[in-house]
Amino acid sequence: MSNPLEQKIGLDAQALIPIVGKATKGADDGELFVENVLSESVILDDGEIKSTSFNNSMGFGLRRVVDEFQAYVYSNDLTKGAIEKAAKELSAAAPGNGTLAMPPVGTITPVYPEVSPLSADYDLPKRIKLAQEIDAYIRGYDNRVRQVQVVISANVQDVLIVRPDGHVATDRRPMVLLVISVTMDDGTRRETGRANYSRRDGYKGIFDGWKAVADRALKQVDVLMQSVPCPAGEMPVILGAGGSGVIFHEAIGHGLEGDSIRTGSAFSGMMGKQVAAKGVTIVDDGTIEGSRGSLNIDDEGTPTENTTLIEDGKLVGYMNDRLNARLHNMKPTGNGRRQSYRHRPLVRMRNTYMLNGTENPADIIKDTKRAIYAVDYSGGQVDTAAGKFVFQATEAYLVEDGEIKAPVKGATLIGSCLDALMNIDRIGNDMRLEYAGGTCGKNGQSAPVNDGMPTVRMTGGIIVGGTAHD
Amino acid sequence: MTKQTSTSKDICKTLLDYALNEAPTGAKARVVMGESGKKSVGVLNGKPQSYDNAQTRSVSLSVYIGQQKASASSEDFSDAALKKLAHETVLMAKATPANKDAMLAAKGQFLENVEELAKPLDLHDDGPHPDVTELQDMAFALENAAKATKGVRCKSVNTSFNYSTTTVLTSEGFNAQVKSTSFVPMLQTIAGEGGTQTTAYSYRVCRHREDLPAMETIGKEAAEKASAKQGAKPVPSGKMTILFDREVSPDLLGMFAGAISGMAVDKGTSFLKDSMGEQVFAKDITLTDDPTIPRGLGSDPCDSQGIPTKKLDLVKDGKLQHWLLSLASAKRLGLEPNGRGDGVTNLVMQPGTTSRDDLIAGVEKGILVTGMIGHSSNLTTGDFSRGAEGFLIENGKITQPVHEITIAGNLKDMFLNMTPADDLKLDLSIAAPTVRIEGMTVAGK
Repeated sequence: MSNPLEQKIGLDAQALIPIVGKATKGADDGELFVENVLSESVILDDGEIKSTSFNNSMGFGLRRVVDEFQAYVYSNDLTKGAIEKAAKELSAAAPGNGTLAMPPVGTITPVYPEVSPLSADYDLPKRIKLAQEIDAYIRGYDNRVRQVQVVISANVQDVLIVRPDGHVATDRRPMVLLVISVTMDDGTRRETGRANYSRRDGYKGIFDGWKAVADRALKQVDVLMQSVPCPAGEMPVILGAGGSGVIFHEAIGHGLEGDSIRTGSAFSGMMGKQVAAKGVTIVDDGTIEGSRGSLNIDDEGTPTENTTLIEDGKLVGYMNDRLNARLHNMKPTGNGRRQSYRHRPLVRMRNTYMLNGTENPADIIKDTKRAIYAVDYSGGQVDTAAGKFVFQATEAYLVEDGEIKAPVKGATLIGSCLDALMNIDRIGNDMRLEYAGGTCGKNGQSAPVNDGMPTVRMTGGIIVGGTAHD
Repeated sequence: MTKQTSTSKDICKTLLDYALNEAPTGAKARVVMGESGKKSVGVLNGKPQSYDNAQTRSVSLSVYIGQQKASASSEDFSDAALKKLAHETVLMAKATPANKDAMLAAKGQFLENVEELAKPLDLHDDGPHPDVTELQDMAFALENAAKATKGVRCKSVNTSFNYSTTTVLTSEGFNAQVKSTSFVPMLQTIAGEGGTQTTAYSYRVCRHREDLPAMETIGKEAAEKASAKQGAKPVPSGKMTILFDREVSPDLLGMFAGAISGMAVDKGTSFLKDSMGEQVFAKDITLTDDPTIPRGLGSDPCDSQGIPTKKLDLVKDGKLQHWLLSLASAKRLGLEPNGRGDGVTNLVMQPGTTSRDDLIAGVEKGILVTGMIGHSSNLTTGDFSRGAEGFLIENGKITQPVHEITIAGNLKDMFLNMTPADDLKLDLSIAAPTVRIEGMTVAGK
């Protein structure tokens, strides 16, 4: 019992195999997923440490898959008896005469250290001191600062996956997160800016690199303080390198998840077709060292990979978990993820980004008559079947006659999945995937992801939702 | 059932005792235990898609040493784990600097006898739990009703039953246990094919099985919504009158609720921070927050600190009357807490006297918004910008479905220029009738 999860249950994974076998008798697939997440956080707000906390979450989920039907029983009673009871319930849930799908294949190249960030190196007093240091730095930087909020958190997730065919997989996944938000007031107006840093690693990156995050939050709020009303209507948009990748996550990514394709995505039946301008190549990659969206294996035990979705504008791949891969007659891509043991796997993205083009980003701006240049975002949303997506710019500028002009207020931008990316006409050579990223929500489950891209210009297809209309 | 109940109260008591034993004399503590279960079924194309059955529980502990506070939670209920939880939380509290918001309701402040007072709220359906067959029959009925509308299919169909028990115990003597249930049918529909697909969804949340409407009604509603959107297109940009259908108007109230949070007001991060007593909505608008509605989704005799709730007119005749106050934010603002430490309970915008049709008839050019996408609204400034879909109104009549547009404005102006229709329906914890707002910016093409 070398694995901490085996120790919690008091059984070797080998001894669990027959129980999983009982749950999946006659099924096409299924597995036992056991999880323990330890997490901790320090929150500074309004000049004081408002919260210090520690959480210990653990449980198992047992799944039986027959054709496209999934039965799932979960509990946080980590005992042999509870798992056996779940297996009994499942074996009666859906009759089947299936043949068990093949176990996951592929090699695992670890992309994060197998350590817990919750180590004594950065104990609570050190993390409290850091939060206070960040607060003091930001307040000292600009006398318009009224509020600072700092969240320093980390977690370590241990997973154990046991399949009825004897395949056993384990993973230890560290994650750290720093979020800084700053509110400024100059007597006439008040704005809030925000920046984050996240990585699958220990706290060291936060302790060494927090100043850059604080400076980004300060810059964002400083820009917003000078912002003018954003234009309203269809206009060219230049997407800045890095965080703008959220547009691909929303406009392309969700619509290319295997479950979405199966139940009605705007991209269903478009394989091989041109869905983006030539030169556009987009991948979903689980194997980037330390990135927030990376995984050694997904939550079904499939090793992750770098999956090409769009190549030179053509749709060439979907993302699949095991169930959707089987139903599409494709191979699983390591995108079967779950929020916790309380959730069945869903097809989810990892790190989604667009590959470099050849142009100097400065030239793209120089050659643009009028556009919105958006560089930072608070997120987005998509309706995959209707093929409409939005994303929210929190730092954006007006470009006029080849120059970056006044910053504009935050605004929602909306477009159509099937034609927005056809309007890309310039692609920079400055692709960035930062140690940041966000949390993606789908069907009530959240998952850490990351996005990236080079500077890109879109000549149309995006409607900018400001208030300034001439 | 009785055995379960004593178990969670016992665990809370044990953990509280461990914490108080570990902590220095005079320390306070609070334990919250949540036990919940869920049965859920999914169907699609006449076939079962999923079945979920779950029972989980978790316990959390907060320790207060003077103004020093720390919290921890666990899903491990072994005696050793509870002891460790108490020990570590006390150590964390000792290492955490004092903060002015760390406080626990004292005797006299918190509500006694919560269980008795919660009874008339009738939040728990004592009937038998639904089995898989019942949930599946409901789900098939939803799908069949949706598919009866020509050209409509389902993207997902789910029915679920949830039950939970929350137990709270504090060193100051507050103790409460509230049980609730909910039945949730929901479906997503798609009309049309390929690049012209339009989507919609419908759902209900009911505390009691008998309050569920016929599944056919919900299924048909979702189908008709998706179908009505067929042929949608953007409209040219311009200043327009916007009607927010009662499916989306509660979103605006949700933003209002965020902006009157006592903590945001004291920290100055709300655009309404200087508006107490002022005209913040049009003068005939009243917003009532009522925690006493039987079977209400937000009904509760007290907030999680134990401070009693009562019915409040947050806005009367358009004027702001109350902040949402927790124990801590009330102290900061020098006010009495009003049981809104967890936010609003059941927030309702009282209906106006004009019918929705009459509101539409008075619009020369505008949009009836039935769906919004995206989350961009800034409570510090009130700036509002969202993706939207709905119907174009021309010369008092609905003429065509509209999508791929954005609507933008500032919540301050939007609230002041709001006219409610008379079509209020009380089904979710935040409810409002259709509202009309003049002078918003629509961006389209």
